[in-house]
Amino acid sequence: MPQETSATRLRALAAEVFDVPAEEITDGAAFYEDLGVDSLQKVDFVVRMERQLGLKLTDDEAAGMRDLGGAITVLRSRGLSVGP
Amino acid sequence: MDRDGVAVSGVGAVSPAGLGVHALWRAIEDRRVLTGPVTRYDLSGYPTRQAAEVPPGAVAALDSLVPPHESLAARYLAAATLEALGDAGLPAHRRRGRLGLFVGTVMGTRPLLDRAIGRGPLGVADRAWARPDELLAAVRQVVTVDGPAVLLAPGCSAGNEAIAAGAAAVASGEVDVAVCGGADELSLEVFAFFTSMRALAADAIRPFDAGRRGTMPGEGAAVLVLERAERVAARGRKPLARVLATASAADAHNLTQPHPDGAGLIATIQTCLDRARVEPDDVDWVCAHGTGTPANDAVEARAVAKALGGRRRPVLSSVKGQLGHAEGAAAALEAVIGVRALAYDLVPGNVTLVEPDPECAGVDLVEPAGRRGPVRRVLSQAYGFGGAVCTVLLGKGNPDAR
Amino acid sequence: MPASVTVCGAGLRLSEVDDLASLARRLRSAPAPAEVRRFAAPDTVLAPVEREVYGPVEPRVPARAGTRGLRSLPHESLLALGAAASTPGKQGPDDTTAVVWASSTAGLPEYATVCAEASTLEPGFVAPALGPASAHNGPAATVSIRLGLAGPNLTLTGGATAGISAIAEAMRLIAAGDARAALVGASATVTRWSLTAAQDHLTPAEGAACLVLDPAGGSGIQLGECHRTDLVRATARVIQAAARPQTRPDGLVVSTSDFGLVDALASGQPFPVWHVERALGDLGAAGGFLAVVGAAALCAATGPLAAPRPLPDAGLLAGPGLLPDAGLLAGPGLLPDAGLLAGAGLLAAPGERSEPNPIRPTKILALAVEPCGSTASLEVSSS
Repeated sequence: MPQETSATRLRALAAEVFDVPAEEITDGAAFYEDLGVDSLQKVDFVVRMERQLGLKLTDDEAAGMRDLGGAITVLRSRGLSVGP
Repeated sequence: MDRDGVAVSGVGAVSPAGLGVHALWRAIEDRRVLTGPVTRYDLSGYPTRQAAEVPPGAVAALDSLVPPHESLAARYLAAATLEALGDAGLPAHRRRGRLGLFVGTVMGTRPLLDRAIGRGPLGVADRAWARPDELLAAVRQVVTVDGPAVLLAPGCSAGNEAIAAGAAAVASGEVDVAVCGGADELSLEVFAFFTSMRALAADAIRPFDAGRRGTMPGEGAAVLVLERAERVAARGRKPLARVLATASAADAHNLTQPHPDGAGLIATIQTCLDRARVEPDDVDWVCAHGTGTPANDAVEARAVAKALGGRRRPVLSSVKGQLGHAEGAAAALEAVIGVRALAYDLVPGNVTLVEPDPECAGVDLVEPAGRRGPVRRVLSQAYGFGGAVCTVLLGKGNPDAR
Repeated sequence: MPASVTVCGAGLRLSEVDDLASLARRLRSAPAPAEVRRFAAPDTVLAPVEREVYGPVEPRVPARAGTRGLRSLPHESLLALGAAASTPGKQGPDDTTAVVWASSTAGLPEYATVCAEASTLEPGFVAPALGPASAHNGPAATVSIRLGLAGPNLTLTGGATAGISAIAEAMRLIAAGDARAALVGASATVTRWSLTAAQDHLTPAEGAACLVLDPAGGSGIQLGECHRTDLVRATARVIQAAARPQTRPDGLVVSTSDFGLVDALASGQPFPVWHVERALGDLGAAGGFLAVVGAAALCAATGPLAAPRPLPDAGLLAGPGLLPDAGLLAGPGLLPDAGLLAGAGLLAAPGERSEPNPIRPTKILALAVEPCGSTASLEVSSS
């Protein structure tokens, strides 16, 4: 199980799941409000991230991932090393 | 459909309360919560393991009632159909006018594939899971169908769409007898993806509660026999209830999220009232879709408050706290409960409600005990993934009892 | 149900069929060769198989349906969207056009994939996006959401009669006032999963088709006279209709997996009988729908011929007595001119020849028959 990941990898995953260009997925771009993501795409992103990293997030942690920066914060709080 | 609507002459049900409408209504009256730990599948490893199952004893008892079939949903449907035709005083096989079958489902026979879910590669045994028409196979063995046989799978509005299609077929004269209902069995596939979606409640489904955390799958089948009232009277019987109006629409918004304003729901409620020529205050019970998910209930309560704005707040409750969400069977089970509510003048309560959600203040949430009092009209709405909405307005069997 | 509705547009996504004219040609021709494809179901005990199928079919989704998010949609939803969005008509935001769709296969690969994932992954790791797509209603939901159609949204499943029932239910929704118009369609896909239930004597096929139905009368192809009953009554209706010149159809398009039934229906009839599954392969519920679209295509190929045309051979071809081999016409390879035979005046019965205007609307029956004996039929006519 990888205990590290990178913002670039997470951005690429989000770009694929949300079907938006990777450069639009900045740390502060809100998934719902700015990127027009729906709740199913959001939960799909969370589950695919969990699968990649082999970890389970709590409901509250998942809900806290409102943008890429938020996702990185949650992962770091779980002890993962998230590079650039 | 004329103002007095189409008569409901018989009802049948298989539910987490067991076999029969009597068991279902007793459970509603007794405020029993029928969700609990799943026994049919091994759910060890799942964070939540609760659903509403047809009890094993009731499943075993099906053997003496209906032909064998791999699909439990097909057998639930056959059992509910036989009960409903018997209740209506109609023979299953002898000549009794043209009979049509209108059945709603969400997953149909597909849950047969779930039984192969284990550890490692998925085993695949039979083929009925890839044959949607197999859902009607058991009922065809026990009932002669010489009219339409329509299998509707529009999402969780299925049960109401079946009632709408059948009522129209009776009203137009296409059939003399419409067997309308819905059937679905507990699906591990649904359980698995609801788990991923984090949409499952851990302890109880609490529709319209501030602390609601999600829904739980249920299962069963329910059937209403619809006929013209004259036909029922000619057999010396009285209609149990009437389908006063039905209406269908779609949110056309998002696959899994309801329209934020509940546009499709509001449209179908208003259309039902217009068609039956009744006022918002004439609706004594709104049998809510009320799945207990954070996303649904507040939207639904606001939409109902808007569509039924009268002198009083609309009286609303959801039976899903007791029965779980039986998907394609849900609206049909709710219609059968509506028929009983009209007959016994009881509005079922929100049995699991602890702390009403302030966001749902626009509706009058029925307390867990339920309410005794005249029930003349019941509005029952259903919708789900995909955005299809279908609403049914039921009235008392005797139209003069308005 | 309104007496009839007018066909205002059609969208097709079928193997080797581009438009209604080529659909009519395909129905009249000998079966086309199918392509051998390999189908696998990873993470299951199912071994890969090779099978002759009609397909693959490209969805070719028009820009009107938007582009973002398309790649996460199931193939069958894309086929449906491709067919639906290629019909004419720009709907407004409050359009109450109904979407009514029939399919035996929609959601099946997604359902099976979730099961396979649930079997091989930890709980909670199943891809959630597959779940809502694993029910039967993906195509109808996708068309409604993508094209902004807020009318009723209905999905029918089951066998071939579902394809014709879809039209009946759409006509009901229009008559009741729930819908202004209807976009009715059907689709099928071939996967390793669907092949577990495929019949050996049929060529599995994938594709989608849809019709835009409007209640307003007018010229064009009309659909009406829907009957849903058992096989005995349906056969009796065909025989009765064939017996009288006033009711006799100019042809019959049948969707059934039973080739013997088609031969029996064709035998002795004074009109040609075309067989959907023979020409297009097994499309499940979509087969019944394609019986109607095929009948419309054959009407269009012969019918809007409302203008009088010379009838040099009418006398020779007309009348049951002069068509002793009509039943044979349904046989393979014997139908090159069947479309011509269905032409308005060419099948006029002897009694009609003396009428001042020998041209009457072309009328072709579409009939779907399921193995259980359920049937649905619809009358397709040009006016």
